[in-house]
Amino acid sequence: MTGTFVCRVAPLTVGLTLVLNMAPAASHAALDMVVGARQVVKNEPVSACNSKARDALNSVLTDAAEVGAGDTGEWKANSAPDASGHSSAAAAIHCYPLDDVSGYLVTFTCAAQVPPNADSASVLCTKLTQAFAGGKAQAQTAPPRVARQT
Amino acid sequence: MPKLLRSLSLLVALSVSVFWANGTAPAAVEMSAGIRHVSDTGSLADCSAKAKAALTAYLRGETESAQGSGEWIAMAQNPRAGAATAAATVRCYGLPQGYVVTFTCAVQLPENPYGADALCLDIAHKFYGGPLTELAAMPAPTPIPTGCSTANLVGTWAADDKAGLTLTADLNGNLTDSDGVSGNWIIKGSAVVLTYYGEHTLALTSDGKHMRGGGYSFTRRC
Repeated sequence: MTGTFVCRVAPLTVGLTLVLNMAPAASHAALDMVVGARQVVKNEPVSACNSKARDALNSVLTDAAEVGAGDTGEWKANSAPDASGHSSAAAAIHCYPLDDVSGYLVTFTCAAQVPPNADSASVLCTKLTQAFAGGKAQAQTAPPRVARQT
Repeated sequence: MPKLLRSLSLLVALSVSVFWANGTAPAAVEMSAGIRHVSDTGSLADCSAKAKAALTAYLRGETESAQGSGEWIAMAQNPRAGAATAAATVRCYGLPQGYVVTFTCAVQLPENPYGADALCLDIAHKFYGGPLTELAAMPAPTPIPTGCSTANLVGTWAADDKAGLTLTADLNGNLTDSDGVSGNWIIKGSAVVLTYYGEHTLALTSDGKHMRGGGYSFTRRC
């Protein structure tokens, strides 16, 4: 009788222990925003900036889109949405033509909610800057799986 | 058959624990970008001064990312969320004549009481003029529960069988004993799980004043 009871209760205890240990510790999600890099690129048209901005955003985040109507040179993208359709990170790349250097000004601005986003805003902006410069694109680190109440 | 029972027990335990483990509402980052202003007059310093003033009107802790850069950032703390849930950057760049400035904002929803677009529009209008819309105030912090609630363990508990030992439980599921040792608590119905020198399952009495089991017995001061 005792053996049967132990056999039934032991898996329950193991299950509870496993999951409670896996459960995330209570912590406050905080918004993290950063002023990313600013660069002046000479002798290159702003159209090149737009193209690189879109590609960089798509390589690190998803669904890059130019904000507003026409050639605004202002690009934005979000991280891939989670199961509930929410994004925990976003970034903007601004391109602005500079006639005096026949080039453009480009700035990177990033925001992330940490947790659940695995990358801080600073890391996100670093990845974007590298991708923009032609470095190997590093996609956002996948966020840890979190148990969800249904 | 016993194997099936064991498997079912494990599944039930996993399901119940997942249900207990997380009550956090899904949240999202909302970003607003696209407001850019070009001024044919004024210097980078002028832009910086206006950027700082515009941010200060709505956020706190305005900081220039590098001195003289003209790139500013500020945040807003949300007392109820216990963290920042709104932020904005105003980035100035000096041109041969005048300057260009961009406004980018981000908020964490649903905790923040207003959207990123509303914040950015107000900051931009504060900078170069335009109608201002009052933003909703940040919510007040959640009051700490008092009394012998059966919904939580918040408060101070005295051990019934060990003089001087107390546990203080907070709203976030943390507990600390009188020696500074920390642990966690979870409650579901009247069942309490204390992670404190191992895991212990206790039962909370219907008046919320006592919890006993797993070799422990505590009485709440309430």
